[in-house]
Amino acid sequence: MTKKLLLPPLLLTVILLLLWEGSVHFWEIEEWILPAPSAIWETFLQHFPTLSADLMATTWIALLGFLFGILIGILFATILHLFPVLEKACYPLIVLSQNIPIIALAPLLVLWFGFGTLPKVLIVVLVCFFPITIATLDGFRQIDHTLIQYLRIAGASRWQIFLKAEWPAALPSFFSGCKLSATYSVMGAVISEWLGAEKGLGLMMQTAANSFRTDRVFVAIAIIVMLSLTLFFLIHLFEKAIIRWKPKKGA
Amino acid sequence: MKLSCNQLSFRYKTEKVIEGLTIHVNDGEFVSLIGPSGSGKSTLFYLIGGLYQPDEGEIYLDQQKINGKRGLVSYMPQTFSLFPWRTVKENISLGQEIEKRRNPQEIDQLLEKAGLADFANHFPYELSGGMQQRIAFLRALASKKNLLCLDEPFGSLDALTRTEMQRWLFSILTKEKRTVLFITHSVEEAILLSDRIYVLSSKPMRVKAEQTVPFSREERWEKRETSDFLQLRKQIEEMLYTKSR
Repeated sequence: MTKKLLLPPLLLTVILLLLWEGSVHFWEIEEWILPAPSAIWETFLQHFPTLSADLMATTWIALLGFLFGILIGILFATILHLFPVLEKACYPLIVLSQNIPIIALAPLLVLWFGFGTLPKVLIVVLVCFFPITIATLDGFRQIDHTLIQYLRIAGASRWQIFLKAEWPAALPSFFSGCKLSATYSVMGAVISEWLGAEKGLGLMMQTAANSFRTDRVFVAIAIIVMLSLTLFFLIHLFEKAIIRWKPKKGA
Repeated sequence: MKLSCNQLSFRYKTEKVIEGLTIHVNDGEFVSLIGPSGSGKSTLFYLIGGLYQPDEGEIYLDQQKINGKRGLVSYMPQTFSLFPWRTVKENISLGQEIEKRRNPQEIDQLLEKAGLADFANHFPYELSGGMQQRIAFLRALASKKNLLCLDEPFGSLDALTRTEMQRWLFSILTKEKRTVLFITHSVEEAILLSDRIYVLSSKPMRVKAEQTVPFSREERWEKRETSDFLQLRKQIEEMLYTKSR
């Protein structure tokens, strides 16, 4: 099943890479404009050992921000759901908060909190909490209403209804939100490092671009993509371990 | 007397759903409510379950007025309404959890008694419709309330499964003495299972007629093909379909 799903995108990737490689050689494109995949691979092998510190720094910020993003996402969703008045008041503001470009907000955070880890993690939290809050809130609404009616007749309290019906019903949506946030978290971490960092993939990317080391920029991109995919896959595994009650598709 | 509803009236928005409804159920009795679908029978259960307040009239359970009080009766909804993320055993334990008195042994015994012990750790999606319905019924039994309100439990099952389920329900209820209020729109089912039947009108819902089933619980199944049984069935069907004045 998964093998069949993986094959088409893998095949396409290989074809695209071959086309890229061929084009670079055919039109003799300069390496500082667009390096061939093979050249990028060579740079990758050469530099990867020295990149571990950058990788660790970015991963740390992404993970820390992601975890706090999840916590805040759940907290917001729960509070807004349990107090509909608050939801009416806050929902538009939360959506609005996402319309502020992170690139504009980031320098302000540095201004307020300095160049340390805090403003970087804050940026990641800001991009991560939103998909989780919105998806989880949506999940709360998707519950089969007869389940709530059953619990009410059985004498359940508001909190029991939340814990035993609404929260488990929202779990699949919550995980969808987490998957989105997982990929955003790495992006957020990289952007945060552009503002000033001592190490990190974002910093490495910027210095590489400034010195026309396009091959290294691509190495950074490749690592960022892999990091995002790894996080995404981890969430997927968590989801599979926790949500066992849904019939497998096609079964 | 276990349950009595006196002159209940209820309107939903501007529509009168129930008007001047008076019924009672004695301790240990199995009483069926039969009426056209959409006549407001489920609404009556919501009133008894405390989900809605009646506009007029009182509901008494064990001589206590229970208008608008929740958590006092066991309820089995028309849809299975099993919690998909809970195993069979966890679904049945739900009532105990809400009442904060966990007793896993009691659940095991109940599953054993019902012949469903092998399914304790299955999720609802792994079970057939009839099986899910049994679990929903056990969940109602396990909450230990004396009055069971069963809302057309076999409505969505095919004829064969339905007969099987009726027998199963019957056998369980002989082991577990409970008072039952049962909604159905099958006359035959009502006669087979109940001691007394209320025939109801629709919109607004009122009691049209009351009929005691003259056969003992044991002899009903053998008598289902006899002329006495068929005649009673015809008689009730006529009550059901004649227009009330």
